[in-house]
Amino acid sequence: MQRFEEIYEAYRGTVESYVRRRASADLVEDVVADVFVVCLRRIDDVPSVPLPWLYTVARKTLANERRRRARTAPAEVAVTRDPEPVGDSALAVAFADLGENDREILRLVAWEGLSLGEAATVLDCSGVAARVRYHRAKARLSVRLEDAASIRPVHQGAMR
Amino acid sequence: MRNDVISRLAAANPVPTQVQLCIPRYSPDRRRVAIAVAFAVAVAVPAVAFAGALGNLRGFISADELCPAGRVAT
Repeated sequence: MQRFEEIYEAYRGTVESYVRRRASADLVEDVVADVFVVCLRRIDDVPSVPLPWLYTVARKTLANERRRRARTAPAEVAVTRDPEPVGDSALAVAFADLGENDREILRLVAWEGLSLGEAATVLDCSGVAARVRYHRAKARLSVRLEDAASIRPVHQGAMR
Repeated sequence: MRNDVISRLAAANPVPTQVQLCIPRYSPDRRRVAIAVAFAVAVAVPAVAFAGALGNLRGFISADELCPAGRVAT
């Protein structure tokens, strides 16, 4: 029980930030609560460095919650938008254009500050697979940003 | 160059926190480089060693054969 309390104290805020970066505000409290219920129930399985494990649980809990809401209130799900990069509209558009797997590994590295080894734990894949996914996702994002930058001047010219 | 994208994405974090960003950089795996070099050596050494014998086998070799000067292309 003491270990759970230590983990809760140390990582509750971090897990909440993780969920806030991926889900609308109304989902956050439920998902974070569920993550720590799982943590308490499986306290013997929690590794010595618990954060990637907690992120894995949060990712799966969030997916379950989304599926549940899609079943019970599909109209609500259709209107809610997930958080996107702020203060950079070109980046937000390019990022939204990527697949979910690409977005997730980029979020883990850029927003959560994880190493590729830790990201591999969260994504439940090998370190090599995480590295390949990361470099491909980054390349795809770069290409989309370059495409957007090359299209913009033509568009501005057409407006004049 | 592409790591700028990650820095840009980190700056656009919707819930900013004081995390230390550790941007992974691409570096060829030493083990893969060593395997590639070993493979190249394993192919190249026998190829060089037996090149003459192989040419002879197929009748390409011209060593020790006289060649009329008129047949040499200028």
